[in-house]
Amino acid sequence: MRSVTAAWSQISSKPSRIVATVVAIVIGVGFACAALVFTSTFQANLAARISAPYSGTDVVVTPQTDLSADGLARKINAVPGVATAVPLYQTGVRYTAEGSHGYLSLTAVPAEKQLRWAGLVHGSWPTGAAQVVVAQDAATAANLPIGAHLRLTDADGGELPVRVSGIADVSASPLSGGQPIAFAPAATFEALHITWAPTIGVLADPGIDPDQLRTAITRGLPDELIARTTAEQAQVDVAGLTGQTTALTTVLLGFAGIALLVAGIVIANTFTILLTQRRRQIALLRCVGATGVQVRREVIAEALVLGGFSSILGAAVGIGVGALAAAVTGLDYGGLSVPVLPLLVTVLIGVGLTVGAALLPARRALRVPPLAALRPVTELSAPTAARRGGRVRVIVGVALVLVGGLMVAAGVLGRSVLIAMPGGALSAIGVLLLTRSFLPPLLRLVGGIGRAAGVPGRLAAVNAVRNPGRAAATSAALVVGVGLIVMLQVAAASIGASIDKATADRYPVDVSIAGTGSALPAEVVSGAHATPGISGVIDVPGAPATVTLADGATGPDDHATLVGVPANAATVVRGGLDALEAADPTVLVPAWWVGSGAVSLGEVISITVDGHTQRFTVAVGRLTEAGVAGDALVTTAAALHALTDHTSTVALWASLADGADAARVSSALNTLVAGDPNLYVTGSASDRASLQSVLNTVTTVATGLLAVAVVIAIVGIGNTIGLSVAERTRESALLRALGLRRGQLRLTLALEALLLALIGAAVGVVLGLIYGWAGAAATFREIGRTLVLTVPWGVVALVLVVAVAAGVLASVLPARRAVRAAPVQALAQE
Amino acid sequence: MQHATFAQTRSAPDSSGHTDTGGPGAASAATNLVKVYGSGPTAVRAVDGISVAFPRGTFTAIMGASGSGKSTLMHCLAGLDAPTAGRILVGGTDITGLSDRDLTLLRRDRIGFVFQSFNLLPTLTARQNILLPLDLAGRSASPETLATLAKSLRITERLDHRPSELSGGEQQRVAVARALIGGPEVIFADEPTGMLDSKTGHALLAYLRTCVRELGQTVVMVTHDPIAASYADRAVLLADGRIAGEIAEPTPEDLLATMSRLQDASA
Repeated sequence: MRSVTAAWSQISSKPSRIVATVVAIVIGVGFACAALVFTSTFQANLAARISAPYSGTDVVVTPQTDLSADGLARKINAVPGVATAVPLYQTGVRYTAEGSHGYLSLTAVPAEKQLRWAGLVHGSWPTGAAQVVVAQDAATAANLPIGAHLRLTDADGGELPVRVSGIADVSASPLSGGQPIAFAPAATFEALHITWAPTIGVLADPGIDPDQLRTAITRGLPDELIARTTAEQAQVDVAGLTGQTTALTTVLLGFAGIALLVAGIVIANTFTILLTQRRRQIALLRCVGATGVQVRREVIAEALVLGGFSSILGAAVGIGVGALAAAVTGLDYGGLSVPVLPLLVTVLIGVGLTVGAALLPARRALRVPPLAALRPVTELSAPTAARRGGRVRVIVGVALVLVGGLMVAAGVLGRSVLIAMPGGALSAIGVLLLTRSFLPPLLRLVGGIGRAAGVPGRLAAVNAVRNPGRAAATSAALVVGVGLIVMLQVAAASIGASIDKATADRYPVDVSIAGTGSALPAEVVSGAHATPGISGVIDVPGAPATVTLADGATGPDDHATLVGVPANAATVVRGGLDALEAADPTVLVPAWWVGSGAVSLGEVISITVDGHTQRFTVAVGRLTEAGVAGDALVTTAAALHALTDHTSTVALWASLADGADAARVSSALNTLVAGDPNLYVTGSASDRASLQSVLNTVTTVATGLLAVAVVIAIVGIGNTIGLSVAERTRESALLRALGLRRGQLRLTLALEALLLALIGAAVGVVLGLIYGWAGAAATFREIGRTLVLTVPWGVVALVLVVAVAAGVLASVLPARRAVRAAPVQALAQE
Repeated sequence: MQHATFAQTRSAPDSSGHTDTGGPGAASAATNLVKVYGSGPTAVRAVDGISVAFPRGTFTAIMGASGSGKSTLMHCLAGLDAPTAGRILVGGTDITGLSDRDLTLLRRDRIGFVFQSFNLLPTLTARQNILLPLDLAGRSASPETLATLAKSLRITERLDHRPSELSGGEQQRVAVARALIGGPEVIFADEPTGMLDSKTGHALLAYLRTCVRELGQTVVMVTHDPIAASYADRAVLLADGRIAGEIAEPTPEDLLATMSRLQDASA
């Protein structure tokens, strides 16, 4: 028990010294706990939403038969104990309305009020087959207010006209695959000839236990269905989705792991510094009779108390943050879910990390000889790592870097992420081990430049490296944080640029609007011309055509269209026009014509347009492969006009203006064609836009998460400076007595922090570039496309500036403490 | 739990019987002690062949100019440093060549220390500092022992204060209490009054002498101050790592005279 009281006395006598450590642990553990609480709440949210549709039932039946849902429901009704069985239809149905078209997730609204899970906001529930209720967000997005008319397409292609009778609130919406939700009575489903339902909801007679009913139903109709109670069904449904949440949890915890690693570095460094400063005390203890084991036990006890307190505090903070995150993103429908066991494990990991980080400094503390108690304290005589220990570290570090580097190279060349990733991790550990060897020389080198800043500069340069081990550890934390962020940004930028190139290669046109070959509506053409962000719109003329093959048979497509590429198309089309420049009239056919063997390349076919016939040589090209002309046959405009003058604009091709936002242009054009289900927008712009936005979101979120690690590293810098200041009070006082002004002393400390932060961030940037390129190369090799290596210089510069500025800011508080000491007071004997 | 008392713990007598090589009456002794720092041409023979014994119940002062080897001698006698050659005995036990762990236990259970400054752990109270050696050994002191000790040293009201709240004299008295509480074979004091004003210092030395006279403690004190040395029963004078003389019942004048003679001789 002496150890614990001694530990507590150490902590409570100078709590400011361990504040930074507490902060580091709280952030690291808090992050992990927030991630756990967030994903657990997310999962509870999923469970609640998934089970919402059948939440009013007692037993849920999943049909396993070809029988119609209605028929099966009637059979279930016959089972004693069943009050009523209702098919819970839910299926995607195509609809068209004024101003929108697409797919609805049509859901049954049962007659039994108990089984209705959505609340009505406006209007009334459907009274017959010709009425539907639309979800609130669908009503606004798809322009379907009360009274709107729409036509539902049934299973056989016929159309059922219905009217919107009400708007419902579906904040508890089950996952509907992004399709807007609409409710309709069973009669509507019947009218649409839909007989299949994913589930049948069963209500029990009063007094009947759902478990018993489930067993009774299963016994009565064993081969045609699976019956589960509502609770069981919810579990099964959630289990099916767990794969996604597991992935989310894994990724978030991965980031938390990084934050904890950086925290571990900070903690180890703090303990090293603290124990160095307590050399005299430890020596006194050894004089008075404390064995090495007892001293180490006291250090471990201190780490335990510190780790325990901070981890519990971190868990509390994490729960709060996780709950807040879930509430802000609207994912807390199922209520806050706090996974107790994983949180407990995380707290234990936090404690273990603190103790583990203190082990090595504790062992070094044992080497303090008792005689040190009789000598005045100087941290210059701080114990450096034993010769042998240092050599082992260097050998292991170099070995890891070599092995890891070879694996990464193999992974990049051999197109395998599975080899590259562990290789990257191994080499990273090796580099971390070697920071103790290459960071101090770097610090000395760059510090030499600092001499230009006069006395403060010279002092800062010397002070930063007087304890190389400490300086290296402090900078290493920043190396990890900055390195990871830069790696992420470089990899994402490279992948983004490569995707850009790939889509540009794939689509010869930035933007195209095409259809099935009939004339584009006039408003679409004029609207396209007027859309901001695109330039050089080309109207592509076309006319209906019939095709006769060389052997006299008709072509594969009954309603073909012949399209003519205007002469000025080269401004908008990137290549793919060479085939059309052949001497003989050539036509580009859709790839599937050749692929299915209907025609062969080079074959001569006859195309008849408006009564005139011309023979063409068959070719394929990017224009037809990319579908920018629909499914039409492509030739030159001259050849087309030779056949007929009655052409209409069947496609529009355009270039994206310089600096235009691909996403905005894409969505503007999509709105333009929304009214006609036969028209669609393609081109490299829309492809790029959707991929790019996903990439951006992921990168931004990941960078934010990694920034947590950087924050911990900055805290570490402030910590090191602060503790060094505490050591150097007599020195600072001496300097002040000799004439160093307060401002100059602050400048000294700021420069010292600047040096540590600058080297840490710079090395981090370099390593981040290397690993980012390697990561992008290995990943892209897997996908098999060509890689464009990019460096997002703007982001890199920003990261560098922010890291360095934060590091310097971290020195402000310790500097204030340093200048507060009166020169005379600090010089007095202890 | 064993209760420690003031009474000295007596160990088995050594068979040699020589007083100057540590017979059964010696609390501490050194035989042909040599301590060399460094190696080759830069080697320093801090202690150059010293044989000395400190009988039980005596107050001995080791005096010498700086560089005479007095501190090094005490370090070796107390088991804080390993000698290059020779033997060291504590209470008749040969401690030369003991492992670090055994030396530590020896210091904990059988030796008391009073240093010139920085005696106390700043994060512990006076009471906790005093009981520190016993705590480390897992023993406890009877409350009467602590109370009597504190009363005699006039620190009873200060027991629950931290060292930063104590004056220099109070700190030294707490250190003496710690040195005494385990009933050690011998107490080693390194310039115990160096940081104190003369009145406080003399009071401390008078107390040490009382412990020796009335309670049979053994005290070995290193000092360069002749007045402090005059409180001792015997003064051992060192010069250049060797014993240069001994004075029984020293007076300050005797010591001053002898010291200046030694300095002239070595100049």
